Amino acid sequence: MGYLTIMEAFLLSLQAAIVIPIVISTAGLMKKGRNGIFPAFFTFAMMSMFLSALYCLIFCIVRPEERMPFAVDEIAECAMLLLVSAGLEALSSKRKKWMPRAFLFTILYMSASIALWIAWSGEWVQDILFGLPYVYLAYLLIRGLEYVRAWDTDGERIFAAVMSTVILLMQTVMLLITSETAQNFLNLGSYAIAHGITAWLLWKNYRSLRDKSYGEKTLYLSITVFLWTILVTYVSDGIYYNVALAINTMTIPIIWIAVKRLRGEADGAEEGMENP
Amino acid sequence: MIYAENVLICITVPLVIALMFLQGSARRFVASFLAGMAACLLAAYVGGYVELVSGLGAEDTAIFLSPIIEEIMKLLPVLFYLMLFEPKDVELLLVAVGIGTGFATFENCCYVLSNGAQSLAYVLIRGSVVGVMHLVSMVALSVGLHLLKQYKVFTISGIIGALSLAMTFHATYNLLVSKQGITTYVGYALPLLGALILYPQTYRYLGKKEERRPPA
Repeated sequence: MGYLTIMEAFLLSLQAAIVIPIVISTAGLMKKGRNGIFPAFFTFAMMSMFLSALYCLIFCIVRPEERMPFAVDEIAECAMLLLVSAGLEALSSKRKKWMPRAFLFTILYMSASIALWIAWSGEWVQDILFGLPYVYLAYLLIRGLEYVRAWDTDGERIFAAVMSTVILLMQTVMLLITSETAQNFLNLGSYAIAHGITAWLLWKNYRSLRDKSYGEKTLYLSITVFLWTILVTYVSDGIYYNVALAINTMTIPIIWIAVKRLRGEADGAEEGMENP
Repeated sequence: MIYAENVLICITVPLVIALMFLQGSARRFVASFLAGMAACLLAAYVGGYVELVSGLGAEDTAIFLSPIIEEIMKLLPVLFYLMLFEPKDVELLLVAVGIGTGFATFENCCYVLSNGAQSLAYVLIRGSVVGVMHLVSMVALSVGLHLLKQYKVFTISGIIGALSLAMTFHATYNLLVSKQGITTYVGYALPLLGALILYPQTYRYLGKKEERRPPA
């Protein structure tokens, strides 16, 4: 078992260990009502994530040097994304507004991402099928970030769109060129930009939590950084994959804090209605 | 080679006749037991087809793809029952348990017929581990579906979520026992541990629900 596999196994066990208390905690937040539905979906999503991490961990231990074929961890991940999406849909049920700009960007961006996944793995049916929940969640997040006014300026939004597209372009060029030096350069460049965006999103999350922004804004920002870090793991290899996985694990407690804040706001509103 | 269809006919005929003499919960259980056995046969057909199409070997198909196929096949009758009859919590659990045990029984019958039943250790493992694993995954699935209904999140995403829990549990067991060593024993312990955890939780929860229900 190589050091990368040991590191991955450690990170997966850490992820599983972090998710267990979150499942227990959010299960207590499950209530009927608009803001209570999200914790219900989120609890199920975290259970799926826990089992997916556990499955990958066992695979690392039982078959350390093998490449995992199509297995249930992908279905569990897919279910997790669908459950989070369904929770967000329920949360924004009162303002289901069609946003063509967000939809177009999501379709173009995620189609290009899926095309790259296919180019890397060759598993085109699987990548298209399991790419769909990513498209759905990405659209809900881009739309939701607009609703909650998560971008401080228009420049921020354009910056995020341009930089994430630059990563895709760099990864595409890497497939077309043969020079190893240029490939390494582009690879390092795309990692730097990807982690730069992650750091910036984490900073926005920190500000949102510190400034006591309302729960929905914090929730959308935290799920955005969570999804982004999942996408970063897909463009990463070797040690970079483990770094991306570690950062992805770090984002889970941020969502949990946002869910707790959201639930707290709902409880406060209910109390306010009872004692006007 | 065994003729699984013939085995199914042999086991089901007395049970089908028994349905005429049963009523209520007993009838529901036997019917779901039969549905579980039929689901097992269909899962074997689909599994054989997927093995050919996927290009994975028989062993890898059994480890990685069978849990997906089998759990989908077990989910379908439960979902059908849930949507058509809108059962109470206890009834849903009863049907899920019936399907799980039916599936496990038929699978065990076929394995024992093809591999022999001379070794008591082998028979014990098949009965108390594989059989219990199908049962536990079905109980977990029915509890998951019930929770989705309770919190009014019974959507496609929710159903896929509950199904993925059952699939991952099943696949984890298959993966653990796929290689000889300490992981095999962990795998053998997993279904029994699952049953021990689920048993008090499920009945405590159902008991509370019954207490809360107003008297008729």
